[in-house]
Amino acid sequence: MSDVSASAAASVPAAKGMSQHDDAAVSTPSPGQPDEGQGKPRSLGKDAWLDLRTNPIFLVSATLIVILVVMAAFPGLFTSQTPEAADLSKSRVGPSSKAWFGYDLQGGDVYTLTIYGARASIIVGVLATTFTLLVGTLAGIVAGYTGGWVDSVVSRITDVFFAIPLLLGAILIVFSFPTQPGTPSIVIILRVVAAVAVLGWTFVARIMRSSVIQVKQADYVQAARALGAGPIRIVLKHILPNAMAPVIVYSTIALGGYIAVEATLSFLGLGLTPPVVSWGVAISEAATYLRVSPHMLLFPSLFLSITVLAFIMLGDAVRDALDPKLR
Amino acid sequence: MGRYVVRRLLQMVLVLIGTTFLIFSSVYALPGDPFAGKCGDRGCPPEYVAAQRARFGLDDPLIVQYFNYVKNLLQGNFGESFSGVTVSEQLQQAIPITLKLTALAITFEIVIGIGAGVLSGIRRNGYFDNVVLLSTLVVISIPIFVIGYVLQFTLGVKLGIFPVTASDGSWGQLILPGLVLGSLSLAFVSRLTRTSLAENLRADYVRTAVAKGLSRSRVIGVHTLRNSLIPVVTFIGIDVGSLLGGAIVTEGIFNITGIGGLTFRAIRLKEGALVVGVVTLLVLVFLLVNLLIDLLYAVLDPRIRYE
Repeated sequence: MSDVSASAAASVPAAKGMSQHDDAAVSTPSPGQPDEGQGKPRSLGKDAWLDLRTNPIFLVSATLIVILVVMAAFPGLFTSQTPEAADLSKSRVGPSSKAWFGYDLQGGDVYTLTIYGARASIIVGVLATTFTLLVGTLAGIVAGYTGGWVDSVVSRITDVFFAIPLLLGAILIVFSFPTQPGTPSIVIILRVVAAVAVLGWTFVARIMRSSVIQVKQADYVQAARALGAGPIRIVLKHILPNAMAPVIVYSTIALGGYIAVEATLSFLGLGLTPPVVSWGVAISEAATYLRVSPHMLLFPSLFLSITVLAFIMLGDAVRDALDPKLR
Repeated sequence: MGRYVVRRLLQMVLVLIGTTFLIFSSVYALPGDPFAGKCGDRGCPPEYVAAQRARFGLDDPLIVQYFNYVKNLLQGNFGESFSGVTVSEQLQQAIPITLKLTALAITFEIVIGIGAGVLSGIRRNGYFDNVVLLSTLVVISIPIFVIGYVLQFTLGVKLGIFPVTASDGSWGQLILPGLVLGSLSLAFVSRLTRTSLAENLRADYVRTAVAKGLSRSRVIGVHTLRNSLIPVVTFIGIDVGSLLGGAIVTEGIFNITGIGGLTFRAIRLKEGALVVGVVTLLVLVFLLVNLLIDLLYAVLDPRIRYE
């Protein structure tokens, strides 16, 4: 169906759903055009999505992230070997046609270990982001919307956590929960998530608070209040959707950052530890042998960097889409 | 202005109390016995352990211990580690080196970061702009310890331009570690400067300045840059905290005997007084720097008033 008929259908309310479907089915649309003439308002989210769909940076980063998530969920699709397999006679053998990424200290295949390493990193990133997003958003909304002494109390508590350097605090938390040799992998991973998240939420809370204070002044919030909407309805229906944009952008970029923090903690010997297979563990082991076998360092850190990069680029693209000022 | 500073200082006291208590209670909660392994293979005699626990007040309730700690701290006494060395003595040895390292990192951030940001912001989408955007993206995505090891290996071991380690902590030895420590923030600073400058170049007052016939360097250097620096300065202020904390990694790579190594050992050995002392100092520096930066806003933008 052509753009013209799609826009014609869009003006008939009953056909609204259909027109959206058609719009999405056209492979290379000029998304801004069809709706423009008729003044039908689009939501911020839909507007941003239309913008994103044609942004090459978004497409590249989203593709990378999808690949990484598949890698984390089904590592068996990419390699037939298991990460535990190792042949000591191949210790630190460089890349060859048989093993493209070479072998690590124990003689394990670096390619297989790198593929399996995606899971721990992605889990840490996603869980830490979810936790910081939930706690930070809640704290930010409470402080920003209520104001007064509640705001003061919440802001001071945020300041207390904010003032502690992230890495120092994370080290303290990791030491508070020591692991034994038999600890299951998921507990080791959750420990790192806690270490990152306990101090990480303050950034989200600060961004959310200022964003809520800004949105609170808006006319539609006043109008909703005048119509008798309760505070919970106002927050959920009017403030939250309009104040989320900066937090979403920050969280996307921070997800990559949390993965890097996990690697740093693992480097210090405090993050993930074997039996968990992770890029951080591989990098910290390889760093000692950088002078003799650089391939052990190169491949895990390359994957790590690409992951971090993908999330930063995604965040950049989402920001461009959500911020009308830059258009 | 005066009232604003007083209010901020009062808030700072509250935050300091909260932070020290948080750290104090988490060190208190650390599992393990601080006297395990202190007396060699045979373990410490129970009398010794009991005497030491009484001396350091380890059996008092948390609140009492914390209260005593703060009381000593207010008298300038940071306490004593379990091996009998005063905390202030250990801090005096470690802090100057870490401060030097952080100062170097911030200098790199300001000189290279803002410099590159200005040059790329002036000509958005030009050749230099793309180089800066790409290289900062690469730096941001590589973990700092990988950057550290690779630079140490290439510039230090292979090319011999910089010393490989910085064990005595002289300025010359700290240049490379400072660059490594500041690299991530340097990338952020140049991106922030670029965006902020490019946005302000479209402002009315810049057009007015150009119309008045001012030279290009004056328009950019005085009128635009000064207004564009507020987000950059804010970032650098917040960054002081992560630089001081992140020094752990850099100090480990370059074998620097600063705060990082000291804290790491202290946490591992459950040296509560030392950990809390270090964190208190770091947080104090962080809060003071951020107060100074908030006051700096008025210098950068005279429209800003404090009340």
